[in-house]
Amino acid sequence: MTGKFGTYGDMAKKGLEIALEEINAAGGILGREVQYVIRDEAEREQVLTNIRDMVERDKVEFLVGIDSSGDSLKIAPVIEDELHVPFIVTHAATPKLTECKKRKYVFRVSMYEEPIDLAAAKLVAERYPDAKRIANIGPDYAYGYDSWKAFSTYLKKFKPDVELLEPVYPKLGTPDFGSYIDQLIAMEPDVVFSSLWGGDAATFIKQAVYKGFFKKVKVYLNAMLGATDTLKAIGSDVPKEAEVWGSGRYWFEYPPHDVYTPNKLFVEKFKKRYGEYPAYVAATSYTALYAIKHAIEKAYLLKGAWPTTEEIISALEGLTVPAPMGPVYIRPEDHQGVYEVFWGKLTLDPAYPHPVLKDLVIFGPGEVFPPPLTTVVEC
Amino acid sequence: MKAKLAVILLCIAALAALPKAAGRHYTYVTAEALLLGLVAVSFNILFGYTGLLSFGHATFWGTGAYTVAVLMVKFSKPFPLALAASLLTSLAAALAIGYLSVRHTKIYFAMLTLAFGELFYAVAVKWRFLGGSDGIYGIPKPTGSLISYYYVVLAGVAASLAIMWWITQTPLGLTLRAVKDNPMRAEYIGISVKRARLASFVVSGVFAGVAGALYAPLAGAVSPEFFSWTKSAEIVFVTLFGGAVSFIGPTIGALIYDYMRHLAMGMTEHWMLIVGSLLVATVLLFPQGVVGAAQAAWRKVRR
Amino acid sequence: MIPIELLIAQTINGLVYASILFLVSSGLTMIYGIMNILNLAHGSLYMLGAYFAITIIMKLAGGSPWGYLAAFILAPTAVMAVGAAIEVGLLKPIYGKPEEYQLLLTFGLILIFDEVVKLIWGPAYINFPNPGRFLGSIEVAGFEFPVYRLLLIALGFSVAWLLWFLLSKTTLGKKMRAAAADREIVSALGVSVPLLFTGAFMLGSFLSGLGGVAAGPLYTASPGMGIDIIVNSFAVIVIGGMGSILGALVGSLIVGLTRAYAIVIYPAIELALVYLIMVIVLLVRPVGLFGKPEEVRR
Repeated sequence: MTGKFGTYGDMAKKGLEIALEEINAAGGILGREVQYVIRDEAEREQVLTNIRDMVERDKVEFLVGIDSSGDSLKIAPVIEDELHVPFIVTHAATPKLTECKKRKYVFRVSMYEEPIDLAAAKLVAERYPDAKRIANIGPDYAYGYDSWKAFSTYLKKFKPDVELLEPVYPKLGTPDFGSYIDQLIAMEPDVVFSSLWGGDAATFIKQAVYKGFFKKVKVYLNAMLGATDTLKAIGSDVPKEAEVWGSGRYWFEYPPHDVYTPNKLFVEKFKKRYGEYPAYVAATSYTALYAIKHAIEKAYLLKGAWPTTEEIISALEGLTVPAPMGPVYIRPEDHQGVYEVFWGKLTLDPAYPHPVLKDLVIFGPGEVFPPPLTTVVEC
Repeated sequence: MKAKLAVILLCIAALAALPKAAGRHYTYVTAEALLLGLVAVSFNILFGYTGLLSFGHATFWGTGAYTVAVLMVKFSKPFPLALAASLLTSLAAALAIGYLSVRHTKIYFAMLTLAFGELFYAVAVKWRFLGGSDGIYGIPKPTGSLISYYYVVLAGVAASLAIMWWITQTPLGLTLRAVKDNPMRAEYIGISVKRARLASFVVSGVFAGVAGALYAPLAGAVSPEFFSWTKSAEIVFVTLFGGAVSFIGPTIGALIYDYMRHLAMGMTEHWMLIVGSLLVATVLLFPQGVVGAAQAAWRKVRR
Repeated sequence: MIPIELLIAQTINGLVYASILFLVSSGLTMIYGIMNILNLAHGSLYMLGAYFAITIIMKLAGGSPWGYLAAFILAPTAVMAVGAAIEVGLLKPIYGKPEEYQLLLTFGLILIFDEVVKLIWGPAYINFPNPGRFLGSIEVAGFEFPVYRLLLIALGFSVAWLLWFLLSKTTLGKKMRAAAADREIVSALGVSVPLLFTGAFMLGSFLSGLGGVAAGPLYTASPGMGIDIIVNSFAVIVIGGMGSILGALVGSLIVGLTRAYAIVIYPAIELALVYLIMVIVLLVRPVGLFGKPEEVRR
């Protein structure tokens, strides 16, 4: 018998492969070789179908992955009610997945959006005490609305005198942000908070640079700017006249390699094998696999035989995994992994093939993770 | 006649025995395929029988599905009530859209139905009450388990097909065919072509809504893509592929298509390439569809 | 209230989108007018234009400005060749057949092209090197506009004028218009209708490909970019009148500007508004603003 996994995305695949190789080279999990099955998330409609097929037909025992928050919320009830396999989420970031009700089979080892937004609010309150007018741009779906809700709610708490301007929500995948850029400029904001991600985040910045946006807006925060695909897309179009802050679920240079070996080893192996720096989802996928391995081993130690799904779930609760992003502690109450949050400045550095984040400001999990099963977002 | 009845009973028996014999995965796929088959047959009432090509049939599939989703998830209503409500919403939508559309034909009719479909899609994407682009998820199965719900789907599909078959055998059914073959002549002998087309549109839309309503608890989630013209095109394709020339052709097309889809998706990410090529091949090489081609081959063999 | 400067800025943004829309829908409407075929895959040709362009710019010219110039000429030409292949290989066999076959076949092509693009160029979006780097921006009404966008508006209007000239002043254009009105007579006069058809489809493809090249630097190249533009193009040609180039121009302006203004005035209805207009036009005046009532096709 072997363990199988289903997951998505090219970077995720790369991260998984490294983990798989390492684990299998060391004898697998308790001597069993680990295999995986990968399905593409691309077609929204196919996600549920693929997941059902993987579990029912291909008999996968664990699911790892999921990028879209919407998809994760769609899949969770099906997993909880019908499919009954542990599902370790590695990127979907909506708080609703873990904080609205406790789920049995769903876990998440990646950061969700609320701690990052809370940290952003802290950053603005501390660094820009004179900022009054705050604007927002985000994709036109739950992730966009929730990010703004979280950020603005916390900012109001830290800095009650801010004026929250009318949020702007372009459709996900909007090709032309021209109108939105002009709208934002017209609002004359001191700070613009953005929850655009992926291609949109890059497209926005590129188009904004050439429309003089950053001459008018001096502070721009974008939670998902730390993603390597976005950074590559931005290329040399890094704004020079404004302070652009980015964050993400993992930054390959944090924790610093001279201080934290797991990250050093992971990044070196990844760079050597694939010729690029790992994106966050590679790190979180890698972490997910190790979480499963450690959980199974821990449960085995307690039981003396291959553990049941229930026993594996119990072992996952309260587990700390030495992940590339730092030690990740999986809270038993909501199955959410917690670790340090960072915000860094977008900078061009010729030593790297793409822009990077520098001057990182670090927030400990205790500072920025809301207590389990609480969220400012509507459930 | 007797032979046909025997075949139908055999099929039903086989479908009823499926869960025990084939397991959960194939049960799910079959239920899904049967519902696609139902919506395709409903489309064919409009297309094969009345000669109207709608590129927005998914509008009613989506209406039925969303009605059930909203009532069951947002208002916690039981499934029978939700199903009945979806009959009403599909009826209303079909009446409204049909009334406005059947005064046109051919390309204008196709464009109008497409525009309405996109309109519904746009509303579904933007309206947060309907879940926006994420849609509505967590739709429970009324009978609790997949296997038991499969029988609900089976019963629903069988009943709907039976009713639609009966309709095609009534005077209305013959009227539709007359209208399709020669609208001017039909008008001349006193048939109100517009009314006949509207009747066809409504019947077609209502059963598409039923199919969508039955599908929502099966899938567990609905999203705006349910209204998209690409879904409408899938319905049209499946109908043509199976054979618009026969009543049950579209269902055969749906079964083959859906099984293939699951198989192909398990093997490659580029499943759409196969669908696209199949579509082109069907149009160029066997526009009568699988059933039509089988019928032609049977005739050849008989000689 | 919305500041007048924002409205001016939105007008420009709307005109940019309208130009790109016009490039695509003019071809679509022309093909329909002359050949009576609604080419659903027209958006795919637009997409191919963008992808060919990025290959030319990056692979052949290493990202230099000259690559852009080359792309504007070579990419649409390549798309034109693809169009010719489609018309001769796939459309000619189904000419006499009912409309649904043509619609379905061209829909099948959309699916095929989307996947082929993913296979050749990968599923991720591809960024164009920003033309702003060598073209810069100028200020209009207090907002900065990249010169590239203004050039696109100029391109749209130039193509419109060129098409008008082609169709009304040249012999070829007259033949095309004649074929649109009555195929048989044109054939009887010795004009090869099949050749004319292929030519029309090629011209339409060229225009759509050109639209893709123009849009690429603005929007990035991604599979599925064709779907968005084709649905809006339907709205354009319905509003303007199927078969009318002037209709495509006016329709593009209406759709482009409506969307631009809606974004700042009432964003929630931006998407639905265009389809609503499309429905209203189809109900009130199905032939559109400049379309001619259906002539008897023989």
